[in-house]
Amino acid sequence: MTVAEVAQAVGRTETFVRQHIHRKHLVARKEGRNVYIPQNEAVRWARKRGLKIELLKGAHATSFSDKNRVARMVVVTLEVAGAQPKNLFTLIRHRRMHTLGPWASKPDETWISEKLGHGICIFSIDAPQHYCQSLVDNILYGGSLKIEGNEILFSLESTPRGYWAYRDQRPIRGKPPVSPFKNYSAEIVEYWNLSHQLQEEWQGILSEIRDNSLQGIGRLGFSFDRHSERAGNLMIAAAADTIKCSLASNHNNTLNFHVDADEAQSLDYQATVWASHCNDQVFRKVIPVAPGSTTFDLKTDIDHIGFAVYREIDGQCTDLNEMYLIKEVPINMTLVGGPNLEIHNYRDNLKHQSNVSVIQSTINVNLDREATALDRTIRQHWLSGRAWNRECELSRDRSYARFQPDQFDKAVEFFLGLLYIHSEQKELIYFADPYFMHTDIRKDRKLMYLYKRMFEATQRHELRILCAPRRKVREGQIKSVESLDPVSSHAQERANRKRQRKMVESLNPISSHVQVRSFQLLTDNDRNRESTGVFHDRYLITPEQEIIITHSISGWAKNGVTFAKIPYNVYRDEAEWLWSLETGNQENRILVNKII
Amino acid sequence: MSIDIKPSHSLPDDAKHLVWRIFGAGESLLTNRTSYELVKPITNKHASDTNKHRIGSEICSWFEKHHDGLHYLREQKIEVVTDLILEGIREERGDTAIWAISWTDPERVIRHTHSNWDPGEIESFVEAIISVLQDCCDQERVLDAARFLSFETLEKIENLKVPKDSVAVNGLLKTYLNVHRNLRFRLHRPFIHLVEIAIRLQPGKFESFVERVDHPVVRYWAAHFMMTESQNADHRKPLRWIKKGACDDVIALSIVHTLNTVYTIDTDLASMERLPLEKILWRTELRPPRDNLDTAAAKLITDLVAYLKLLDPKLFARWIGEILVYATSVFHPQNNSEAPNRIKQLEQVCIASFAQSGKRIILDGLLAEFRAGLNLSVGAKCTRHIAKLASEIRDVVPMDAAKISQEVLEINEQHIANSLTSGGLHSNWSRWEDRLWIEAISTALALSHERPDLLHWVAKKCQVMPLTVWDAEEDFEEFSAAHKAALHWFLVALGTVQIRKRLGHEVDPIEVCKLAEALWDHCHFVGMYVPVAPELSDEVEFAARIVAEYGAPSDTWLLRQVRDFKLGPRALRALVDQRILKREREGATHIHAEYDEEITTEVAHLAAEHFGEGVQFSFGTLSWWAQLWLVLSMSRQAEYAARAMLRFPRDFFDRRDMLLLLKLLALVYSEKGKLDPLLADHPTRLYSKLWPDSYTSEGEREDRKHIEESLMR
Repeated sequence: MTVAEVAQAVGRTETFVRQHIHRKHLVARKEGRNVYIPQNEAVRWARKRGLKIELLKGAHATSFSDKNRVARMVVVTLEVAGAQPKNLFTLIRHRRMHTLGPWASKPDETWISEKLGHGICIFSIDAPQHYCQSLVDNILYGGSLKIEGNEILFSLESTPRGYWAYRDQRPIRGKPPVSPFKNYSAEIVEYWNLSHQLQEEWQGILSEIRDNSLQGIGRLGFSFDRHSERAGNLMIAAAADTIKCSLASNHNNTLNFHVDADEAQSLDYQATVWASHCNDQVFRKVIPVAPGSTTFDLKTDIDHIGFAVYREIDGQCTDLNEMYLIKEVPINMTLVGGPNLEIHNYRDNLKHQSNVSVIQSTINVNLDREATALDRTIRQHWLSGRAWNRECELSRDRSYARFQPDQFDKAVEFFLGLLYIHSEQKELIYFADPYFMHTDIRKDRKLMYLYKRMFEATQRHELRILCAPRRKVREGQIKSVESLDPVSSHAQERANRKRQRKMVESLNPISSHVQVRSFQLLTDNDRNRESTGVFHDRYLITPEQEIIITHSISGWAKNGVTFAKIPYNVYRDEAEWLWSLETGNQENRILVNKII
Repeated sequence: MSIDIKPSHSLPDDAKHLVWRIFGAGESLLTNRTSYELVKPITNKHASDTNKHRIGSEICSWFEKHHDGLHYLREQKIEVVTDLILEGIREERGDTAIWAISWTDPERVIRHTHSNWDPGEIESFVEAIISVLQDCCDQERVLDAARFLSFETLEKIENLKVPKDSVAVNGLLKTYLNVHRNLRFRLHRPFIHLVEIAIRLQPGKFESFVERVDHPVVRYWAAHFMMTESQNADHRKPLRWIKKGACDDVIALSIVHTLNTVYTIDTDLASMERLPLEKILWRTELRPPRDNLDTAAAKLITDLVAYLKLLDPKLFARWIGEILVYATSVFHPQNNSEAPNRIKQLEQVCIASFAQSGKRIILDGLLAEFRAGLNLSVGAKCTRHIAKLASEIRDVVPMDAAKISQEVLEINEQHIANSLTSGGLHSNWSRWEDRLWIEAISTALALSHERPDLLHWVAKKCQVMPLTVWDAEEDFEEFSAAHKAALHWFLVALGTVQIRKRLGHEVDPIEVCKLAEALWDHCHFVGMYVPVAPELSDEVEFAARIVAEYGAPSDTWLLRQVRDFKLGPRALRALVDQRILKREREGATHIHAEYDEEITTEVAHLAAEHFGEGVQFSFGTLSWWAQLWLVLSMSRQAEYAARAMLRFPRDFFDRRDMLLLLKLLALVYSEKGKLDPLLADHPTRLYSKLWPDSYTSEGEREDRKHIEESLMR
């Protein structure tokens, strides 16, 4: 800001401001004949003196607005055939010129563009911050931006939202937007587009591309694909680069907090530094921020560190960073040596490629080894305790339960609990188990008990059971030699179905609401001979929930079983689709046989 | 199992001819049946009706069944069968006869034919062998495909062919290296026998054999048997295979074997340093003191180049290119830090000889052939040989030298541009090949530009690369690759300073200082975004040493660098160290020395402020600081550094670190006369761990002596 601008912002004369600069109350920078005051410095000074300051001429200004800042503005547009391109997301990042690096030249103020497919185009420009601000003003005023003859439509709320995006290197889901600057947190001003249509369009594209991320979207510097709710927005991110802080843990039981700043600037901040081990806060300190390194001795091992920096004048947190320390790194190495040789087998018209020598090795780099024995043991205890606690938490709301083989009765009780449905109306229940009644339940008391209870518990509803033909359940796994003979295998299959039917019928009258169907995938080559199971997973679907089950019922007593609630409804869709297929038609790719 | 101990056989004379037929058909790689399986069908077909059953049973009894279910010839019958085959095929020259011979012991065959057959019979026999080999090479059946595949795959496929093309790699010499290292034993054993028999029976046919039998692996074995025949008698033999009009493979094999012989002589020379002469198993006919092995090896190289020079100039240029690439594979050094002397000599001889072509290098298109031999598409670092050539001809044809240098720069430029999109440049300053490569590019820059503005030259390249903070945040891989390329350009520019000085050109010291400053600035910036520490790289040290040598750094400049400290501890150590070396070398006056001392003290105090007690640094950074304190003899800081190092787990310490720590403690002890109680136990522990007995490696002798003197005080 110029002296005049500061004077205007605080409602005082220029002489007043100049006097404060002269007395070094207010830090200013001289460029030739001109004197500039960084905006955040003006704010600090005004607040310290109790002066009311009004800075926001344009609502998009952050407290880091400065004439020496450069910006990169990236506009991602979406163009649907025949329509004008519209803003999908715009991000303006700005920072101090000298942080760009020794090879950065003056911003050229030229737009470059790239088409990313799916109707998406990305435009970017490097320019002084004030130039980008004027573009934002135009957008807010006219609702559009002209780039190389393209008019891009913006539909933005006039009032922006201001917040901070911090650095957070922890691999956790559901984090708030992270700062688009690697070494700094960011003050954000964001204009929202509240149209659902654009959000849905963007989500549609995201589901189309799935894992294949859009090449070139990296230039945005912000993981927009993880924040689809922000479709159509315009975001201004100012790097909080007055001071630069970093925290590092060396393997010598020290924590090193480093600050790069001018002496005058750093006095206005203080920081909190913390470290924890197995969730125990083993270190937390508030320190004044001073340029250079501050080293802290630690008494225990640590696995998580972080710091937060606060502006003293207004208490604003201007930087925050947290990270987990890596304790173990598995590295896979494949050394490929020698030439690739191609072998032709002319008889079978086959080509084989072989590499002469391949060495594979896995190295486990354990960084935990320098921890003391006590720390290591505590970590092991903590990890085992954490697993148990998480299991308990999940069990409490019946989202997860694990039963050992000797807990068969408890598993059955839990399973029956899952079958209980609050609704008085007749509902549909799907149960998928490839091995359903493959063993003779009439000879197994435990299984007989389970099936009886299962049928009883679902009597008011309709129970649809999906299974695989008994002959073969998994791809490539042939149960018996006779299954290769089409005639005998069909006969055997019929016999199996009959046996299954009899087993279910033996539980009448409580099985009258039960329907069982088997599903098998017929291969194209040898439709009558080869077949494979259609599904492998075991699951239970009630109107209220979808539960994956790790073992078939017949294996619970032998191997134990785990139930886990999943929120995706993928199995429900699959079960409904399979049940909708025509039964008994040998011409279909999936052969569905009605057992009962 | 019953053992047949009968020394001979009881076959009637008219049935002897059946033996070679059985073994010929059975051992042929073109049929799928074993000799045992063919006994009955062949006896039924060729023996008289009256005794075919008896003969069949007799021959079958020569085999025994092994636990894999197959029948193998009893060991006691091998000689009998070999003799019967040799007797039977005397008149025969068909494929079956040759297959039968392929099964036998070559030594026995050679002895037998030499003493029983006349030259005409031997001649036609060798011709027949060559003919069978030719057929099999054409059908690509000489390599044993089973050795390329797992058993599982092999079960599913039979009659496999291994294409000839798959053996070839870049250039003929590299192909033969590949054959030697990976493929020689993949030739079917019967073929190795046939090649041995043919070559040893008629060594004079070697060149014609190589020309006619078109397969690198077979040709390799032919040359191998030529060499085993003569290596202990005439180590210069392969040189004589090089003649005008000789086929490329013969020349390639000659080069390969000549260079291998040089390597062999060098191995003997190395043995002479370790063993008494009588215990050495000599690999050539050369014997000291009668022969000077070193001179003989050197002469082989000069003569090889001289023989090649007799060929067509274009061919000569190509072979020289190939040899220069191939040499590094033959004379592989024990460590990668220093170029082996033999490579230096070979490169010198090759380039000097080629440089004699002078103007014709460009005029007659010899440079293009040389480049083809170097195969730059595979190893662009070989441009160093072209730059060396330019340097060699600069006095005779300066314009051509400048033109060639420009070409080198362009190839290099392209190579670096490619590296930006393919994961970054792989270059390591500690490897001699990479150092020579950079030096060559620097030479090219010095030769092609009269007065290059080096800082501007580097800046121009760096400004167009993705090296800004935006790039670091948006595409880290691209940024990282650009950083490697930037380091390369800095090294080239700094190297050019050295080369210009060597060539007697002027160097602007201010420019040198600015160049180094720009590199440190660059590394300081990149260090904020990459996980490695660029301020500890080889490049920063090189820059510091160049500045100290050629930059005439002023005291103000030096103190400013230490105050800002963008250069880091490694560069500062190098700067101080090189200043001391230079002063010692040039012999400063007393006043100058005193003044230098004062500046060094000031530098040390400023650096000590950055260091503090050193606990904030990573282990790698700390070790460079420690070395700085040793150079500056700062005992207090050395003590801090030792304490800080000891805070790290023991696993962090390798031998070099232990030695460094011991040196620090020795410095502290020698200055203070005692050690802090926390440090007091460490010298004994480290000393006994480093040197448990009186043995000290050559590289550590001086250190040990110095440490002992310091700790004894």
